[in-house]
Amino acid sequence: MKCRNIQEKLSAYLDKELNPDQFENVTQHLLHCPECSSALEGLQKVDTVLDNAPLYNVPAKFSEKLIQEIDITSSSTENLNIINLIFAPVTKFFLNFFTLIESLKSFKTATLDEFSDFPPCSMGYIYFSLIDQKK
Amino acid sequence: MKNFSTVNSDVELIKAIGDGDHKAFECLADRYKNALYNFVCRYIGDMSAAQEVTQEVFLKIYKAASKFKVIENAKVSTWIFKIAYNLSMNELKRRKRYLRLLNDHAGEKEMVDRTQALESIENRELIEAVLSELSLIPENQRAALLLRVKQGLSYREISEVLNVSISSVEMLIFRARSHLKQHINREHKG
Repeated sequence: MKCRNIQEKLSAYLDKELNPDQFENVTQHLLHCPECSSALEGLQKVDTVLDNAPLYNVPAKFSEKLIQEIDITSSSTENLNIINLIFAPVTKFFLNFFTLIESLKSFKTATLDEFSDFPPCSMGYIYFSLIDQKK
Repeated sequence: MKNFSTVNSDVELIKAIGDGDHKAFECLADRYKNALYNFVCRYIGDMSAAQEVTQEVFLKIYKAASKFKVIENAKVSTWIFKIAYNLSMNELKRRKRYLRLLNDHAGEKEMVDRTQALESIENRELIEAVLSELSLIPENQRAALLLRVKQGLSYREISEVLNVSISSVEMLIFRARSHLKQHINREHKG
Protein backbone atom coordinates (compact mmCIF):
# COMPACT_ATOMS: atom_id res chain seq x y z
CA MET A 1 0.00 0.00 0.00
CA LYS A 2 1.17 3.51 -0.78
CA CYS A 3 1.67 6.07 1.97
CA ARG A 4 -1.25 8.14 0.67
CA ASN A 5 -3.65 5.19 0.98
CA ILE A 6 -2.31 4.38 4.42
CA GLN A 7 -2.69 7.96 5.62
CA GLU A 8 -6.33 8.00 4.54
CA LYS A 9 -6.89 5.01 6.81
CA LEU A 10 -5.00 6.36 9.82
CA SER A 11 -8.01 8.07 11.36
CA ALA A 12 -10.06 4.85 11.29
CA TYR A 13 -6.96 2.96 12.47
CA LEU A 14 -6.78 5.25 15.47
CA ASP A 15 -10.44 4.54 16.23
CA LYS A 16 -9.95 0.77 15.76
CA GLU A 17 -12.61 0.78 13.07
CA LEU A 18 -10.62 -1.02 10.35
CA ASN A 19 -11.25 -4.65 9.51
CA PRO A 20 -8.52 -7.07 10.76
CA ASP A 21 -6.72 -7.26 7.37
CA GLN A 22 -6.59 -3.49 6.93
CA PHE A 23 -5.52 -3.07 10.53
CA GLU A 24 -2.65 -5.51 10.04
CA ASN A 25 -1.56 -3.83 6.78
CA VAL A 26 -1.45 -0.41 8.40
CA THR A 27 0.38 -1.74 11.46
CA GLN A 28 3.03 -3.39 9.28
CA HIS A 29 3.43 -0.24 7.19
CA LEU A 30 3.84 1.96 10.26
CA LEU A 31 6.71 -0.22 11.50
CA HIS A 32 8.96 0.93 8.69
CA CYS A 33 7.48 4.27 7.57
CA PRO A 34 8.46 7.30 9.70
CA GLU A 35 6.33 9.65 7.57
CA CYS A 36 3.07 7.76 8.22
CA SER A 37 4.01 7.24 11.89
CA SER A 38 4.44 10.98 12.19
CA ALA A 39 1.05 11.52 10.49
CA LEU A 40 -0.54 9.17 13.02
CA GLU A 41 1.04 11.10 15.88
CA GLY A 42 -0.42 14.30 14.42
CA LEU A 43 -3.92 12.80 14.50
CA GLN A 44 -3.39 11.52 18.03
CA LYS A 45 -2.38 15.02 19.04
CA VAL A 46 -5.76 16.31 17.82
CA ASP A 47 -7.54 13.81 20.07
CA THR A 48 -5.30 14.69 23.01
CA VAL A 49 -6.03 18.38 22.60
CA LEU A 50 -9.78 17.76 22.36
CA ASP A 51 -9.64 15.44 25.38
CA ASN A 52 -8.02 18.20 27.39
CA ALA A 53 -10.58 20.79 26.35
CA PRO A 54 -12.50 22.13 29.34
CA LEU A 55 -15.69 20.32 30.27
CA TYR A 56 -18.83 22.18 31.12
CA ASN A 57 -21.32 21.34 33.80
CA VAL A 58 -24.91 22.27 33.20
CA PRO A 59 -25.90 25.31 35.28
CA ALA A 60 -26.87 24.52 38.88
CA LYS A 61 -30.60 25.10 38.43
CA PHE A 62 -30.83 23.11 35.21
CA SER A 63 -32.28 19.94 36.80
CA GLU A 64 -34.73 21.95 38.89
CA LYS A 65 -36.01 23.83 35.83
CA LEU A 66 -36.22 20.62 33.85
CA ILE A 67 -38.33 18.88 36.49
CA GLN A 68 -40.64 21.93 36.59
CA GLU A 69 -41.03 21.75 32.81
CA ILE A 70 -41.81 18.04 33.03
CA ASP A 71 -44.42 18.69 35.73
CA ILE A 72 -46.05 21.33 33.51
CA THR A 73 -45.98 18.94 30.55
CA SER A 74 -47.51 16.09 32.57
CA SER A 75 -50.20 18.29 34.13
CA SER A 76 -51.17 19.74 30.76
CA THR A 77 -51.40 16.19 29.40
CA GLU A 78 -53.57 15.25 32.40
CA ASN A 79 -55.79 18.29 31.80
CA LEU A 80 -56.17 17.26 28.19
CA ASN A 81 -57.13 13.78 29.35
CA ILE A 82 -59.79 15.25 31.67
CA ILE A 83 -61.16 17.41 28.85
CA ASN A 84 -61.23 14.36 26.62
CA LEU A 85 -62.98 12.40 29.34
CA ILE A 86 -65.76 15.00 29.53
CA PHE A 87 -66.14 15.78 25.87
CA ALA A 88 -65.61 12.34 24.37
CA PRO A 89 -69.15 11.02 25.25
CA VAL A 90 -70.72 14.32 24.05
CA THR A 91 -68.80 14.18 20.77
CA LYS A 92 -69.72 10.53 20.34
CA PHE A 93 -73.40 11.31 20.97
CA PHE A 94 -73.51 14.06 18.33
CA LEU A 95 -71.53 11.97 15.86
CA ASN A 96 -74.03 9.10 16.20
CA PHE A 97 -76.94 11.55 16.06
CA PHE A 98 -75.83 13.12 12.79
CA THR A 99 -74.97 9.73 11.29
CA LEU A 100 -78.53 8.63 12.10
CA ILE A 101 -80.05 11.73 10.52
CA GLU A 102 -77.90 11.36 7.44
CA SER A 103 -78.95 7.75 7.01
CA LEU A 104 -82.63 8.76 7.19
CA LYS A 105 -82.24 11.07 4.26
CA SER A 106 -83.23 9.23 1.10
CA PHE A 107 -81.48 10.34 -2.03
CA LYS A 108 -83.84 10.92 -4.93
CA THR A 109 -82.72 10.31 -8.47
CA ALA A 110 -83.71 12.78 -11.15
CA THR A 111 -84.59 12.12 -14.76
CA LEU A 112 -82.70 13.77 -17.62
CA ASP A 113 -85.78 15.88 -18.38
CA GLU A 114 -85.08 17.93 -15.30
CA PHE A 115 -81.94 19.16 -17.00
CA SER A 116 -83.79 20.42 -20.03
CA ASP A 117 -83.94 24.07 -18.98
CA PHE A 118 -80.75 25.12 -20.76
CA PRO A 119 -80.93 28.30 -22.86
CA PRO A 120 -81.23 27.60 -26.63
CA CYS A 121 -77.88 27.21 -28.47
CA SER A 122 -75.99 26.53 -25.23
CA MET A 123 -73.73 23.48 -25.03
CA GLY A 124 -76.10 21.78 -22.59
CA TYR A 125 -79.08 22.36 -24.89
CA ILE A 126 -77.19 20.91 -27.90
CA TYR A 127 -75.98 17.91 -25.84
CA PHE A 128 -79.45 16.95 -24.62
CA SER A 129 -80.94 17.55 -28.10
CA LEU A 130 -78.46 15.06 -29.53
CA ILE A 131 -79.31 12.49 -26.81
CA ASP A 132 -83.06 12.96 -27.55
CA GLN A 133 -82.39 12.45 -31.28
CA LYS A 134 -80.57 9.17 -30.56
CA LYS A 135 -83.53 7.96 -28.49
CA MET B 1 -42.41 4.29 42.33
CA LYS B 2 -39.08 2.48 42.20
CA ASN B 3 -35.74 3.81 43.35
CA PHE B 4 -33.49 4.24 40.36
CA SER B 5 -29.73 4.39 40.54
CA THR B 6 -26.63 3.97 38.43
CA VAL B 7 -27.16 0.23 38.25
CA ASN B 8 -30.32 0.55 36.18
CA SER B 9 -29.75 0.23 32.46
CA ASP B 10 -30.78 3.00 30.10
CA VAL B 11 -33.47 0.75 28.63
CA GLU B 12 -35.00 0.14 32.07
CA LEU B 13 -35.04 3.86 32.71
CA ILE B 14 -36.65 4.66 29.37
CA LYS B 15 -39.36 2.05 29.96
CA ALA B 16 -40.07 3.49 33.40
CA ILE B 17 -40.18 7.04 31.97
CA GLY B 18 -42.65 5.78 29.38
CA ASP B 19 -44.83 4.63 32.30
CA GLY B 20 -44.65 8.16 33.74
CA ASP B 21 -41.99 7.57 36.40
CA HIS B 22 -40.40 10.92 37.29
CA LYS B 23 -37.62 9.36 39.41
CA ALA B 24 -36.44 7.37 36.41
CA PHE B 25 -36.43 10.56 34.37
CA GLU B 26 -34.35 12.37 36.99
CA CYS B 27 -31.87 9.48 37.00
CA LEU B 28 -31.54 9.50 33.20
CA ALA B 29 -31.18 13.29 33.19
CA ASP B 30 -28.38 13.07 35.77
CA ARG B 31 -26.67 10.45 33.68
CA TYR B 32 -26.71 12.36 30.40
CA LYS B 33 -27.09 16.06 31.18
CA ASN B 34 -23.39 16.97 31.17
CA ALA B 35 -22.48 14.82 28.16
CA LEU B 36 -25.37 16.28 26.16
CA TYR B 37 -24.66 19.81 27.30
CA ASN B 38 -21.00 19.53 26.29
CA PHE B 39 -21.85 18.04 22.91
CA VAL B 40 -24.46 20.71 22.16
CA CYS B 41 -22.15 23.47 23.45
CA ARG B 42 -19.32 22.44 21.17
CA TYR B 43 -21.61 21.79 18.24
CA ILE B 44 -23.60 25.01 18.22
CA GLY B 45 -21.01 27.16 20.01
CA ASP B 46 -23.29 29.05 22.36
CA MET B 47 -23.67 28.13 26.01
CA SER B 48 -27.02 29.74 26.76
CA ALA B 49 -28.55 28.29 23.61
CA ALA B 50 -26.97 24.93 24.49
CA GLN B 51 -28.78 24.99 27.82
CA GLU B 52 -32.13 25.52 26.10
CA VAL B 53 -31.45 22.85 23.50
CA THR B 54 -30.36 20.36 26.18
CA GLN B 55 -33.60 21.03 28.06
CA GLU B 56 -35.53 20.55 24.84
CA VAL B 57 -33.74 17.22 24.28
CA PHE B 58 -34.86 15.97 27.69
CA LEU B 59 -38.44 17.12 27.13
CA LYS B 60 -38.47 15.25 23.84
CA ILE B 61 -37.07 12.14 25.55
CA TYR B 62 -39.81 12.39 28.18
CA LYS B 63 -42.57 12.71 25.59
CA ALA B 64 -41.20 10.02 23.27
CA ALA B 65 -40.11 7.48 25.92
CA SER B 66 -43.33 5.47 25.68
CA LYS B 67 -42.76 5.06 21.92
CA PHE B 68 -39.15 3.91 22.28
CA LYS B 69 -38.75 0.42 20.84
CA VAL B 70 -36.03 -1.85 22.12
CA ILE B 71 -34.23 -3.19 19.06
CA GLU B 72 -31.26 -5.53 19.20
CA ASN B 73 -27.92 -3.67 19.09
CA ALA B 74 -29.71 -0.32 19.36
CA LYS B 75 -28.46 1.80 22.22
CA VAL B 76 -30.46 4.36 24.13
CA SER B 77 -27.46 6.70 24.07
CA THR B 78 -27.46 6.65 20.25
CA TRP B 79 -31.16 7.57 20.25
CA ILE B 80 -30.54 10.36 22.76
CA PHE B 81 -27.62 11.81 20.78
CA LYS B 82 -29.66 11.60 17.58
CA ILE B 83 -32.33 13.77 19.23
CA ALA B 84 -29.62 16.15 20.46
CA TYR B 85 -27.99 16.33 17.03
CA ASN B 86 -31.29 17.01 15.24
CA LEU B 87 -32.34 19.72 17.68
CA SER B 88 -28.89 21.33 17.60
CA MET B 89 -28.96 21.32 13.82
CA ASN B 90 -32.38 22.99 13.90
CA GLU B 91 -31.02 25.58 16.31
CA LEU B 92 -28.09 26.34 14.00
CA LYS B 93 -30.43 26.65 11.04
CA ARG B 94 -32.74 28.93 13.00
CA ARG B 95 -30.04 31.26 14.16
CA LYS B 96 -28.28 31.42 10.79
CA ARG B 97 -25.16 32.53 12.44
CA TYR B 98 -22.48 31.02 14.48
CA LEU B 99 -21.41 32.59 17.76
CA ARG B 100 -17.93 31.83 18.84
CA LEU B 101 -17.79 29.75 21.99
CA LEU B 102 -14.68 31.41 23.24
CA ASN B 103 -16.46 34.75 23.58
CA ASP B 104 -18.67 33.23 26.23
CA HIS B 105 -15.87 31.83 28.34
CA ALA B 106 -15.23 34.91 30.44
CA GLY B 107 -18.70 35.18 31.97
CA GLU B 108 -19.24 31.51 32.70
CA LYS B 109 -18.65 30.31 36.23
CA GLU B 110 -20.10 26.85 35.72
CA MET B 111 -17.10 25.64 33.78
CA VAL B 112 -14.97 22.96 35.37
CA ASP B 113 -11.53 24.40 35.06
CA ARG B 114 -9.65 21.42 33.81
CA THR B 115 -7.29 23.68 31.93
CA GLN B 116 -5.61 24.51 35.25
CA ALA B 117 -4.35 20.96 35.35
CA LEU B 118 -2.55 21.42 32.08
CA GLU B 119 1.17 21.67 32.07
CA SER B 120 1.64 25.08 30.51
CA ILE B 121 -0.06 28.18 29.20
CA GLU B 122 1.11 27.12 25.76
CA ASN B 123 -1.13 24.05 25.98
CA ARG B 124 -4.09 26.16 27.01
CA GLU B 125 -3.53 28.45 24.08
CA LEU B 126 -3.29 25.47 21.77
CA ILE B 127 -6.58 24.06 23.10
CA GLU B 128 -8.31 27.38 22.60
CA ALA B 129 -6.90 27.66 19.09
CA VAL B 130 -8.07 24.14 18.20
CA LEU B 131 -11.53 24.71 19.71
CA SER B 132 -11.78 27.92 17.78
CA GLU B 133 -10.82 26.11 14.57
CA LEU B 134 -13.27 23.31 15.43
CA SER B 135 -16.06 25.86 15.28
CA LEU B 136 -15.08 26.69 11.69
CA ILE B 137 -15.05 23.22 10.14
CA PRO B 138 -18.20 21.93 8.40
CA GLU B 139 -21.02 21.07 10.82
CA ASN B 140 -21.24 17.38 9.97
CA GLN B 141 -17.46 16.93 10.38
CA ARG B 142 -17.62 18.69 13.74
CA ALA B 143 -20.53 16.54 14.95
CA ALA B 144 -18.87 13.30 13.82
CA LEU B 145 -15.56 14.17 15.50
CA LEU B 146 -17.21 15.26 18.76
CA LEU B 147 -19.34 12.14 18.93
CA ARG B 148 -16.26 10.00 18.36
CA VAL B 149 -13.64 11.72 20.49
CA LYS B 150 -15.70 13.24 23.29
CA GLN B 151 -18.56 10.73 23.52
CA GLY B 152 -16.79 7.57 22.35
CA LEU B 153 -19.50 6.49 19.91
CA SER B 154 -18.57 3.87 17.31
CA TYR B 155 -18.73 4.66 13.58
CA ARG B 156 -21.93 2.62 13.30
CA GLU B 157 -23.57 4.58 16.11
CA ILE B 158 -22.44 7.89 14.62
CA SER B 159 -23.85 6.83 11.25
CA GLU B 160 -27.22 6.30 12.97
CA VAL B 161 -27.06 9.68 14.69
CA LEU B 162 -26.07 11.60 11.56
CA ASN B 163 -28.14 9.42 9.25
CA VAL B 164 -25.24 8.75 6.86
CA SER B 165 -23.27 5.64 5.85
CA ILE B 166 -20.40 4.26 7.94
CA SER B 167 -17.90 5.06 5.16
CA SER B 168 -19.14 8.68 5.19
CA VAL B 169 -18.54 8.81 8.93
CA GLU B 170 -14.99 7.55 8.38
CA MET B 171 -14.41 10.27 5.79
CA LEU B 172 -15.97 13.02 7.94
CA ILE B 173 -13.79 12.17 10.93
CA PHE B 174 -10.69 11.81 8.76
CA ARG B 175 -11.24 15.25 7.21
CA ALA B 176 -11.98 16.88 10.56
CA ARG B 177 -8.85 15.41 12.16
CA SER B 178 -6.67 16.27 9.15
CA HIS B 179 -7.91 19.86 9.18
CA LEU B 180 -7.23 20.27 12.91
CA LYS B 181 -3.86 18.52 12.57
CA GLN B 182 -2.78 21.06 9.96
CA HIS B 183 -3.99 23.84 12.22
CA ILE B 184 -1.93 22.48 15.14
CA ASN B 185 1.14 22.27 12.89
CA ARG B 186 0.63 25.88 11.84
CA GLU B 187 0.26 26.91 15.51
CA HIS B 188 3.52 25.17 16.39
CA LYS B 189 5.34 26.82 13.51
CA GLY B 190 3.84 30.20 14.36
